[in-house]
Amino acid sequence: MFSTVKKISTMVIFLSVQACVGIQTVGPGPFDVQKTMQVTVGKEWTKYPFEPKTGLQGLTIDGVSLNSLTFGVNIKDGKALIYSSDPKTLVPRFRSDMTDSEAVEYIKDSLIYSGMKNVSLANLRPETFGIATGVRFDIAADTERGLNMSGTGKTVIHNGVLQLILYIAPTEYYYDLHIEEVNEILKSATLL
Amino acid sequence: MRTRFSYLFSALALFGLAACETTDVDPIKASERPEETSDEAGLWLQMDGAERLLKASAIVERDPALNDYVRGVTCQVIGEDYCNDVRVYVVKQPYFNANMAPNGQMQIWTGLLLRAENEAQLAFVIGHEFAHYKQRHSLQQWREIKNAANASLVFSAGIIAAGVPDAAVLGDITLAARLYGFGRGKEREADQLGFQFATDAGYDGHEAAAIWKYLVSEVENSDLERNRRQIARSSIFSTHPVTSERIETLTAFAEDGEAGTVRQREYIATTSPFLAKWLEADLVRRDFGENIFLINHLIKRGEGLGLLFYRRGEAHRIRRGEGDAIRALADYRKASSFEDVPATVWRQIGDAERTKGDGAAAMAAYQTYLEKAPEAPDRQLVKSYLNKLDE
Repeated sequence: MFSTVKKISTMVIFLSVQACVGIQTVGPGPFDVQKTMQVTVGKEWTKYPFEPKTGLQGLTIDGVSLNSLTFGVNIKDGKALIYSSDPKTLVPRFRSDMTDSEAVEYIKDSLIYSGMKNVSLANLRPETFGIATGVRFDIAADTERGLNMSGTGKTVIHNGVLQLILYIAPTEYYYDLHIEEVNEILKSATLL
Repeated sequence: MRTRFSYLFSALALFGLAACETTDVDPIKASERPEETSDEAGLWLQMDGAERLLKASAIVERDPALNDYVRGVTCQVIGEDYCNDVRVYVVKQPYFNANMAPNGQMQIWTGLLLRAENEAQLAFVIGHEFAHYKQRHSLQQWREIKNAANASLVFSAGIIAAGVPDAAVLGDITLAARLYGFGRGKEREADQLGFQFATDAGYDGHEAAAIWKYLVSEVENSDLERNRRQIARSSIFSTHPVTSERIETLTAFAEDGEAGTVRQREYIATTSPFLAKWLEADLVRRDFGENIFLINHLIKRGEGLGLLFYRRGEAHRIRRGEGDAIRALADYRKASSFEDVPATVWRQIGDAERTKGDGAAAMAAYQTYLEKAPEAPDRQLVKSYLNKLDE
């Protein structure tokens, strides 16, 4: 029923275990994501270990359930943002011939698949992402338990692979708390 | 040797204790609540907590008209005496499912509402779920689990004592098979009683088997081999009767009964405002075979064709199989000839034409989209496409 809660709980446990070995802080200053993307962060963020199976790298300031800045790097054709041990599992998968609006749709569907409810996109607009033109977008959603969430992000398909940055936080208080910092981070994104 | 005798003695003692728990319970009466000190009260307490979470969650569909309708059908099927004992929640999940908790919480998933063809089919599902409640199946199941778990422990301990530790796993397999075996028995009873409740309420008995027949056909078209296999054969772990057996049984019940009402018009009128979002949610499952089969099935109704051809186009576009781009564009074009087509069809036609290299057709479609959807969330993006095409 509450699969998102389970996933978050599993993630929290995973991150707690990782705390002994892999959690570091980054910033203020430039931050390289897997030697593929670089952003400039204005505050100190906590960095969670890179997840090679999904290509996702997470940062947070107050904890992943309160603000989560996720980087997806070099997502190749056929890859899913949701990890499954069974490669035959039917999940939204990236296709290298997607249009930029389809790339945003792929991110949205991945959020829905992972348990977010009432996901809606707003304000899709072109925005430079390093040397390429990507798409900037805003998101509204609810967790399964009913917490209103807001988000913003940008994505680009360049040389057949997808890069993305997605910020999500509870709408009440936490989204606004760091949105100016996040907007600056998004503006600063370059591809290496 | 003495150790083995000790295990055997303990095993027999445990088995004796396990055998004390009776699973023979009377059907619950209207307005009845379990005694506070009973194991049943404990089950209800657990489910009351889960229901509070469900009520506050974002997975419940709160549309008043839809909820009133489903509640009305429920009361029609279960009767006024029990109407206040059962609380129905329409749950936003794209799968074909419904379930019943021991405390009277019933869930009807939107994937089921999407696939039911008429009110009678929904009524049979409600009748089936209510039978679980009335017969206190959860309480029986709970006691059977406790008894079977104790027996399995005895089985495992005995094997370990005999020096074959790996074989202890067999105890768990036996336990699982036994528990789910009880489940199948209760499902059969729920089918029988559910059929009776729905037909007593005036619904046509032939619709009970019809919804299962449809489901078999849809799953046979699944992209996932595992799903296709599940429908084709039973397993000892299956909680429900083999689908073919269920269809045969329900068909036989209908042959002995009188014809009743189906109420398709009322059902379609109530559910059609939700078709767009339910079909969109179904496609997120990415089972294109099932999704396209379902849409083709709905197309046969001859209503809502603009939406349905658009959704089929979406499935083809996202699937990206051989020839799917052409199929998608053909579906979008067909959809655009109906009044009920969503404005986004024009954006998709624009994208498809732009990918094909037909700039003029793409521009025309994008312009139509912006005219029809002036507040579209991707307005700026589409304008940027138009600017590029105009260069």
